[in-house]
Amino acid sequence: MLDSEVLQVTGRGTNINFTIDDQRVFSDVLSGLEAYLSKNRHLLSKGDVTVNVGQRILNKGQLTKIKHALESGSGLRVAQFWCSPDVLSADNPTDDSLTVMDVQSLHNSSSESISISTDPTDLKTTIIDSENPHNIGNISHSNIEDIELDQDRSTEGFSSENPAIDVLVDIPEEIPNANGPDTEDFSESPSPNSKSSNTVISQTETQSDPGDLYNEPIFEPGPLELALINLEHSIQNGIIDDPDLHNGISNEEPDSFNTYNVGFTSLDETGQEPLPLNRQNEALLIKTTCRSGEVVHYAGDVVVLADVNPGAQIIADGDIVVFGNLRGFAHAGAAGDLQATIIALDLDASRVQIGPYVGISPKTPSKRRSRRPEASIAYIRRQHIFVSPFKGRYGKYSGGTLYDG
Amino acid sequence: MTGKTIVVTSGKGGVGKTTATANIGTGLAMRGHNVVVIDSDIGLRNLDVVMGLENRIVYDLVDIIEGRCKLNQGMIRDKHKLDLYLIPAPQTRDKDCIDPEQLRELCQKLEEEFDYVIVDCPAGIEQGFKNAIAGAQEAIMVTTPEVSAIRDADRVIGLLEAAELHRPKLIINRVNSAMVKRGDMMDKDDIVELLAVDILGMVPVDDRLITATNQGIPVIHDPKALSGAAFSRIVARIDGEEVAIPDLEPRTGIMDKVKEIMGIKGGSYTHA
Repeated sequence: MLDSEVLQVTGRGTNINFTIDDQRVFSDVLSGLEAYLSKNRHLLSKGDVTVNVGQRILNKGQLTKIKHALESGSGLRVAQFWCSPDVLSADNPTDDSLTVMDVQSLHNSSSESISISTDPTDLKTTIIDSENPHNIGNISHSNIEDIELDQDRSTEGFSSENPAIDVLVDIPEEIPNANGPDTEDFSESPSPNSKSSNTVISQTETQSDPGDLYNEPIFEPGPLELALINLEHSIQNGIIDDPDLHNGISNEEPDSFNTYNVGFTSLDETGQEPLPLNRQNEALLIKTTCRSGEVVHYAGDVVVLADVNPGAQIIADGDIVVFGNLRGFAHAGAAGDLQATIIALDLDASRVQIGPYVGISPKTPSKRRSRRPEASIAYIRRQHIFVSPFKGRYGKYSGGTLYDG
Repeated sequence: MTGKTIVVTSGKGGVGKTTATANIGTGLAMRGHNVVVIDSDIGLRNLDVVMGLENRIVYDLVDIIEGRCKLNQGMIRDKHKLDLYLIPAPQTRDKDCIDPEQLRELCQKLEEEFDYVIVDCPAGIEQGFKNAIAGAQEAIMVTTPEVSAIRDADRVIGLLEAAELHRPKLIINRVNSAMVKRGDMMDKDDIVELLAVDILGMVPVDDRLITATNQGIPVIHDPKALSGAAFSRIVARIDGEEVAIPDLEPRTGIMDKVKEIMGIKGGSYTHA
């Protein structure tokens, strides 16, 4: 962890957070940032960073300056700006200040075609009261129906893979959790429809989540706090500045929002298919053996047509499929996708990770060597990593081996 | 005449790079080739000791590179009067005193005169390693059947491939066939499957090798030594001959020893 006067750097590896002091004058912050970066450039290598601007309300120009300061001369790429949720609840003038925005919109901001919509009617916001979690299912379903879905585009995927806006909310455990219906079939989950460009689903999981995440629908009430937001023009502009949205979310549960991440889907060149934030559409195909010391980091699915040897690392935001022996370290869903899986023809790794959960193989190395290879899948269930024989991508897996060492 | 430069490397220390270099160099010279071996382990030289040439060192690798002596002054001829020369490493300098480009130039110069230039690489993957592989067209990986050595070998193979030294050849040193048979040691197939490279040969664990190393005579000169025979086969494979890799079975009785001495194949070995 690195500390400087205006900048606090937390995290390691691929999850670097820059928290910028929110009390000082902006020019001081910028100069401090540049001083820090010039001093510590050697500590930072290529990668995506998330910038937390705290309580500060920044306009587009200021965000661009921060982004430029961080990106110039280094391999860093600013993936997201965060801000404190309290900012959104405060009576801040949001008409001409951008609170939180996706980096893509900064790129787009130079284009004349971008228009900033401030019309509140452009936003339809639904807030689910966490005190009445039983209503969530109904509300979310009815909203799904309200929203005109483009079924042709919604071919696959989970909501967490395709968030147009990703609102991550950490809710304290004292918030009541209800065990909602959990028998809904996975294929009937409304989540596959969420790829629609104007549907926004946010999801949060509390620590006391009792559900089976792998088999259960995204819209399970109780553990998941949902906010469905229908953004029409605002999404296309990559800008969120509607006071109703801010006040709506924050007024419901002003104290329970610890972190508040708002990211945006940006349109690709065709302007048609919305891509998830920073998620590559195409899988990375690796045809050679991944040897010790090699680190593959990819913002999407990774397919390896060879072995992954001990000491190698595959870190993917999506799924990892190894057509060979996986002995190295594999981290699927590195951006937080809990539905990600790791599949290998011979899953021989002593440690795997999906999202934030780490699984340690219960087998000793010598036992691993003597057993028969079997195609296996690692997945999250009840906040633990389980490994089962691989039967098919969307099959229901249960009774796997618990990877907890 | 254009020879080729082969680097002998491993990553991990103590697996037998220097011994392998001395024996491969000697073996190629015994087959009539013109060979020079370079000790690139600057500061920790010992190829000269293994070859028994320690007391003949006047100039060394850095003296040649820095122009303090002529090339032929810095090369020490093998004491068995073979066409084998050694360029020793300096003991009082460190690895940063030469750069990869200088060693590459030296190797290119030597390739004009010699059939084989064999570079003994230091352990590790730092500057010394980068220097040693700079001039090489081929690489020989030495590993032992231990997890740590194989892990390091895997890393080094990745680095070699990154340096355009594709498909290095693998020598598995210190194979204890009794332990392999009991399942206590990784066997050839496990290692080759994991490292995904071609195997050049296996050298059994052998007391005679240690004796020979201590005497400064490469074990390949010893016709009775199992390890020397293994190195002879390795050298033949480097030279382009097709020699099967025998499964190294422990010798069981005196008759097997007799057969080995008389050069009768089979008996102690069953060919794979």
